Amino acid sequence: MNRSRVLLLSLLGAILIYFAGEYVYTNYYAIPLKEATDAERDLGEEIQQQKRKIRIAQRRIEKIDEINRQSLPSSLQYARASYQEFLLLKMTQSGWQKPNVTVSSPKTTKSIARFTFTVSGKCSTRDLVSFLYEFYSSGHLHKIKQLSMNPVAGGQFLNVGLSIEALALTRSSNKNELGSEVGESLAIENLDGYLPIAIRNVFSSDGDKILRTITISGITSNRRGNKQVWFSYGNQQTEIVDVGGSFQVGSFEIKVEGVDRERAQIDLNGRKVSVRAGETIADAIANDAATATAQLNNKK
Amino acid sequence: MNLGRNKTRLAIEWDRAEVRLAVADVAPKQIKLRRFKRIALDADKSVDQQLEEILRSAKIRNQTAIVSVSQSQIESLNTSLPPASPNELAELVLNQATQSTEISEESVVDFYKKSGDKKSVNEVDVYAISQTFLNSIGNSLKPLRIQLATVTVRQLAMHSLLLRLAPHAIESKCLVVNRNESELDLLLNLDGELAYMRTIQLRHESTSAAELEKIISEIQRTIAVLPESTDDKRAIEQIYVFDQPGRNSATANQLSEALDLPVTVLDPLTNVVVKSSSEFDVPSATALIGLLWSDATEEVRVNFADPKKPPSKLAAVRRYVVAAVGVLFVLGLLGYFAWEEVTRAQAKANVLKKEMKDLEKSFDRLKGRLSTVSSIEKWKKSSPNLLDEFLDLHNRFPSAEEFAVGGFNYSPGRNGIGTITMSAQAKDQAAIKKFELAIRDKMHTLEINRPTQNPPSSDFGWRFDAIIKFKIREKKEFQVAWNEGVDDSSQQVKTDLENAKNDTETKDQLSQPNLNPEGDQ
Repeated sequence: MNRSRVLLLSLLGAILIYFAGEYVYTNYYAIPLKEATDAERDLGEEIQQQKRKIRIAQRRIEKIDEINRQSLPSSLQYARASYQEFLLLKMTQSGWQKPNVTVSSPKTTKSIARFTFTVSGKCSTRDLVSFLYEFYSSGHLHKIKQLSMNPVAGGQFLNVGLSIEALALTRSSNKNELGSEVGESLAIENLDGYLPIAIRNVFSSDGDKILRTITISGITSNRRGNKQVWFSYGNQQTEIVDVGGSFQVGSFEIKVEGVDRERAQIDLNGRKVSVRAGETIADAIANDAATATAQLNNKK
Repeated sequence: MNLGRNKTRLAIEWDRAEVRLAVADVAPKQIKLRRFKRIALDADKSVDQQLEEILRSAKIRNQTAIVSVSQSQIESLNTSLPPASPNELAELVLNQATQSTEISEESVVDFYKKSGDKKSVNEVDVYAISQTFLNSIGNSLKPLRIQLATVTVRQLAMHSLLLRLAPHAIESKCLVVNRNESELDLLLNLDGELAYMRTIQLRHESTSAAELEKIISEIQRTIAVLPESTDDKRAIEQIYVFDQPGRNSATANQLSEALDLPVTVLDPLTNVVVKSSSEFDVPSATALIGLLWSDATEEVRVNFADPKKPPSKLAAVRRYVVAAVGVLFVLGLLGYFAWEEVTRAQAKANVLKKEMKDLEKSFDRLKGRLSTVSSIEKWKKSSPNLLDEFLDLHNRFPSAEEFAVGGFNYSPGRNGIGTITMSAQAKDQAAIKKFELAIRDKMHTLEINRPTQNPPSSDFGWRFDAIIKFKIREKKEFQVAWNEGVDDSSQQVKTDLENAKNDTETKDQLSQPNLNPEGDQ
């Protein structure tokens, strides 16, 4: 074998070895290593995401205990009875007349039973506010699906119909009776915060009728200089109010803000009215309106 | 390589009449001659047959032996060979030897290169010895546990000694004369190489004068044939004689006169310490001393016990195999590390995969409970807190003398929207406008339908139906709205009310509300 042939064969061998080595390196080292490292990196990221999801899920699931405590009793029979009793109790305590609660058969899934209670009765606006306050102050799994209110007796009373949905979980912490969880969904903690609804009583159809009867029957001043305004209305009724004081008549809250020799400045449900002694509030409002119109006309 | 440490050697040499033995401690710079013995040979037996017995009688065993053989026991060949590498040269020499008629096929061949290299013609002296003879020597030594390390040519040993004792001989043409008991060795040194050698058998002459005459005549005869034998026409410059200085100075002078050449006596015992000299004789021991120096300095040019050989094919294959194994080992090592790296990465990925699966299973287990929580939270959020919503509306409704509600219904809508339908009465159109402006905001839309005028006797001049749609809010949203928006909204209501006083046809201006659940208006 001559030298050039040996050289050629060596070159060919080297080329073959190079390509074989390249093939082995690529297919048995570089690619598997890259796949493994890529998988390692991707899996690392996925694991972090999954852990985050699990942490979020666990935080949310921590609420399951609270939900189980809020649930009606897991026994459907006890759930129905105890919650019906709860509603009747709250209606009665709130002053409802002829309270009535009926319940339909629950709709059940694997883990939840859904009850619909129908509530009806007659009550004042104040009674309704009190009932709703109690309803939302209790921490049961319940919600009002429908509510209808129709005023009777000029708005002094309401015929109320409620459709309430309540849930009983099979894993409820309460077996035979309602839990004592407190609801925290109300924006105002005490009932007094909601009483303006009852005071205003938008269902009252009296309008300003009563304002026509309220007259300032006198403005007095005692020895210490404390001034009082005497309001007479209705059937010989009189309210004596210090400056800064107030009283309630029908849907109106009347607050005395200031007094001069013959006039009292009052706040009527937020409206400022200046009432002369001997004048009704309705007349004072009419005079104010006339004055305002005259001022507008003069401007024009 | 001897690193200056002494080694003990048994040197053996013989001629037709006797065997000469020397035991010495050899080092590169000094030889200590511990024993020297001359033992007569039985002329009817060969040397190899008598050697074991002789060594036994001399009580010599457990030694490393170096042996020199005489010219008569070898064949020699001077040859010129093409340029070749050392390995190739060995192959060429063997090939030449095989084809030569001078050397039998069963001979052990060794050589030394006098000149030449890979690029120039190689001048080589080839020596051959009978394999049978070599084996017989080895076999004679074996029972005495004597290891045969070197078998060389006596003349080469003497020439080596010449170069050691007369270094300037490397650049001259000179004749070396050494006389044994029965032989006369004549060596021609040509510029440091052994160019010619001749051994003459001597008979015992009656007088020393006759013997000297015989030697002179042999030398003259030899000088006469040298030009033809060596292709060198230069005259002999010098004659060297191995002997003890001063012992035969007269003989040396006679030689010089007879040959008309300068004669120098070389002392073989230079740097040699002789412990026992009972049988010691310088001319007889010269070859042995040369042999010992060659071994001490590791300059044995020809060694039949370990001849130079071309690398066998098997050795070449072995070299390739070793190289291949080495390469494979390195590749295997690299492959192992690569495999380990890939395996480790894959194992890590598998561990992560398993962890991912476990996490997915954990999440799947949580899903059921999460679904319950989610559905209940969604269920809760679909219902408004009606009491807060009522209070919010109450704050917006016009005053009692202007506005009253005749009927009120709430029902849930979709997408977090609640719907209130109501029938209402208003004192006048301005009150309706006031109501409308007060209710509408980002959270509420209002639709007023069928405004109808009441009889004049009625407390409220107008009645109408209203549909309020509101976004279901949480308590925080109410708290924020009540804390932040009261002043602004009341101011806005007042401004709108002022504008509404000039409106005469309220109904025409009661626009349809935007039912966008987000409340953008």
